[in-house]
Amino acid sequence: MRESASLRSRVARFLLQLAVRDRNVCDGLLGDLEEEYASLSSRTGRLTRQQPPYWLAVLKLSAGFALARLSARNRQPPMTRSAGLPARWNTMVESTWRDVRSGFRGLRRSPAFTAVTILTFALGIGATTAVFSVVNGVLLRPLPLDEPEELVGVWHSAPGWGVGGWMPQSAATYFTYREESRVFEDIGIWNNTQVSVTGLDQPERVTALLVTDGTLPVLGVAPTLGRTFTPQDDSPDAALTVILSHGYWRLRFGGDRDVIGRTLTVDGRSREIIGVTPPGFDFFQIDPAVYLPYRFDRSQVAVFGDLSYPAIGRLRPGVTMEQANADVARMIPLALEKFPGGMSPSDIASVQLGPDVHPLINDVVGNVGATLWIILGTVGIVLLIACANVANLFLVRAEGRRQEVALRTAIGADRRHIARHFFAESVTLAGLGGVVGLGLAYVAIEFFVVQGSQQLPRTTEIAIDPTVLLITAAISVVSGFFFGLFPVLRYGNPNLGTSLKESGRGSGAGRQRQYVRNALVVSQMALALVLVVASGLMIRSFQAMHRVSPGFERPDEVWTANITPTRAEASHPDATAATHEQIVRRIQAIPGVTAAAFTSSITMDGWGSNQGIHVEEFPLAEDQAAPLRRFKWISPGYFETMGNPVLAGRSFSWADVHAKARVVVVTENFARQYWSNPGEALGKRIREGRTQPWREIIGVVGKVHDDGTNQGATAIVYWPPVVEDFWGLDIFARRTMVYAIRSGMVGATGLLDQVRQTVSSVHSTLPLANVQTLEDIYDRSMVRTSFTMVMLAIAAAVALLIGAAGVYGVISYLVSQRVREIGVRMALGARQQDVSRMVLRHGLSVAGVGVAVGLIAAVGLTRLMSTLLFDVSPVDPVTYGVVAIGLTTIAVLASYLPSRRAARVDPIEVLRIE
Amino acid sequence: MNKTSFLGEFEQMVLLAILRLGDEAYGMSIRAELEDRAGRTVSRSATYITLERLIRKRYLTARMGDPNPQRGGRAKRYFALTDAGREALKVSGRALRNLWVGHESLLDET
Repeated sequence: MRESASLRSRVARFLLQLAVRDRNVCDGLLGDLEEEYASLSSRTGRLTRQQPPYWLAVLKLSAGFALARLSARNRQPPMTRSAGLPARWNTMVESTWRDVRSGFRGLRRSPAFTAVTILTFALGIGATTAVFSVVNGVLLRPLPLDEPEELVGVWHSAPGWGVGGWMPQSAATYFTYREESRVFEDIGIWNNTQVSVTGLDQPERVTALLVTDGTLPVLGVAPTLGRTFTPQDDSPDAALTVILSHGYWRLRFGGDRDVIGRTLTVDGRSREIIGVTPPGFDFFQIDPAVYLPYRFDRSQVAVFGDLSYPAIGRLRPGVTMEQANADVARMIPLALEKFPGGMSPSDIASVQLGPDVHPLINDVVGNVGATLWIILGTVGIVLLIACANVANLFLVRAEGRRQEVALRTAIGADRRHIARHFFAESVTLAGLGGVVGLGLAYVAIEFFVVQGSQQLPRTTEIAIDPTVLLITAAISVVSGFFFGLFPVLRYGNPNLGTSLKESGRGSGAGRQRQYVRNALVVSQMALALVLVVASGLMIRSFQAMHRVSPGFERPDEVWTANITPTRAEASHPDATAATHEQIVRRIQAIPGVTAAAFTSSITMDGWGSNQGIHVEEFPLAEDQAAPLRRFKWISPGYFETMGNPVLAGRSFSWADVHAKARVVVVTENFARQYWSNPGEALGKRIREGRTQPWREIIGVVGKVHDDGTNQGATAIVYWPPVVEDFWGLDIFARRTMVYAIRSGMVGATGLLDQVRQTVSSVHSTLPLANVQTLEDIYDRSMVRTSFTMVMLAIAAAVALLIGAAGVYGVISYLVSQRVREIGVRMALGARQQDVSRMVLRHGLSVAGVGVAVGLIAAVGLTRLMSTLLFDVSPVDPVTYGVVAIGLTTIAVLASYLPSRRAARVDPIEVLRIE
Repeated sequence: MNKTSFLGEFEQMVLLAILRLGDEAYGMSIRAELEDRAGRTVSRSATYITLERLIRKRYLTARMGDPNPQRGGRAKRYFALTDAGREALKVSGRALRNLWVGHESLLDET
């Protein structure tokens, strides 16, 4: 206690001595403080009002004395100084303050220069700060969960299957990993789905998250009310339970705390409400309304092949990713032993099933990392261009101040003083630019969050936090020194004689100085070219994506909506199919509807599933796994509704559906993988398993880009809505179907109301879920490309603007420096157009070198963004050509104004001044 | 009128507080006195900076007392008015009083 008090007083003394030199003054102050705060703590003192904390009081005193000293010093320069370390520190603080003040004074004298510099720099730093705060929020900040570094996504790799990406878990692997693992504290699986909730105001479809009992505890999520799932809830014969999300509880139950123990009807079955999740927890932006337990029957899990459940795990403390992966690799064969009957060891070997355990944040963030880093790189380039431009402005300004520098040197300023003077000015400017830039960044982040909310994860975490502020401050100071460096290097040690002599005359000398400025402009042009090329490539990608025929046409005329008859409404697959048929036929009859159909998954909605397919003509060896194909179940009329042409054969008819005919339709690229043209596929037979009956291909339709326009066409097998003898089931029909309704009246609310009425005329409790136009889905598949394109285009536009200003500045300065030379030339007979051509030639040559350097740099750098491009080469000659010509033109235009000024030089006037 | 300028309002208040406190005038008591009498909060740095300024203007002298365990072993720094300080206070007070003549009743009426 005593020691801490003495440490406190020592630190306080040090702080005070920074500003108060007199030891007695200092002691008196500290004693008063000590007394005051001691009496405060014993509550007997006379000063009873609110006191600031001790340290704040010390700091305020110290700052007050420092400021008072500085202002006193300005009023009365002669001042006695005492020696010692604190005094030296004082001197340093004071002289820095003096430099900053003189910097301010200088800047106030040239407001135009100051404004342009601050604005240029603010653009650069604002853009960098904004994008860095996005990168920081999305990629760098840890997940807002307990011990986030222990959380992992547990997946498999299966290169032999021929589909990219990660393979999730099956129930068999889940049980095995949970029971046998040496590395996981626990593991849970999850998946999201749509469910109907009835019995509240209106029947509604909501997002539900299916979880096992370990999933929420693994994340460290404790319920606000009630409890989480237990192994008991998660077993097949327990009572049905549900956990509400905080948002849904507030929305539908008004935050009633007595909700625990009440029931909620989910998909027609009554469930007991056992808990409410904490506020703000949205399961990585899936934002489910309710959480339901999976309730696997462990004794029935026999199939090791249904790999469709994403899993999360928490590693035991100290376990590395390598150890975790090794442990999963050890357990894969164990799963086969524990749950035989599904895939065979040879199946596993042929698909090369292996472990893929990685940090959970990778799953949450997905693949936006590359996009964000590229955008950050681009704005970094904008910042460089801004710095180069400001450096140039500084050079020009320093040029005009050679006389001042020489004068300062003459009266005794040494090189250090001059350097400090320049640095103080540039760092002050950079600081001001940083502050304005921060303001710009605030605005830009709003824009980012709105623009990116569709495709960026974790947008709620984007903010200007201390890390971002620190980086911004660091960039400001470093750039300040960077562009202050140029004038220091050039003029820090002036040759007194020549400077004082020269500056009297409008000399055109200083070839070397011109060289530095030219080099800066060349680098600006080169960097700007790289950015413009990059954004040009994105624009070309976007155009290419629009040219792709995605497997449908005029998406703005198509409504889509999900309809799911519950077990109460249709208990048997036949009844489900009949209900859907009834609904679609009634919708087709609505006036204004040109076509309507349903499918298990509409193009690009991400709901399609992949399954193996065997082709009769191309039998597979015993140990060969069947290649995966996308499966979809569709009604007759689907292709007509979507606008995808039938290239050969025919589509399904209702007669096929009613007869449960063993027929399928495939896409063109599926057919072409086996046969040379689509027509040859007709009559050929395929099946979904080695022992299932064969199905005949009756039609081939156009390509469908089911994974988005920026992905290749997907090989799809279309099935009728009810299939007999399928996957070992007597009869199979998908319950949830997505309806596609084509009408010229899409967008008019009347139509949607009619559709709703029609649906409820079939079953009054059937809700319409997830209503959107096909265009919404289409746009979403383009959103990443368009987002990147907009970002790069903004960066490129700013770069171009600053670059053009740079060219203009240098050429125009050059002209002002060469007025005398031009005057002499004209006096000797040069014509106006000769002079202006000379100036233009200079601009053109600077731009030409810049463009050439930029083209070479672009070839190297645009390779980094090849993953973002679609159907365009990173070295696309059209883009490069157009950009090179465009940039050169801009440079010539920027030189044009100064060249006109040069041509108007009056030789008599110039020579008279001389 | 000598060449010394008039005292500022706060300077006058500080000098008056020291006058009243007599031998017990040190930083903390001065500040407490100002707060008690003037009925307004007084910032710590303003008080101490003014004290140092008044010393520089030679209106005040300072002397160190004995070290005091209640104050972390530090001595109190006592302040006292110099003759110049008394004179300056008188001049300022007189000037103010002259300016005030007749105004108090006027202001009270409104």
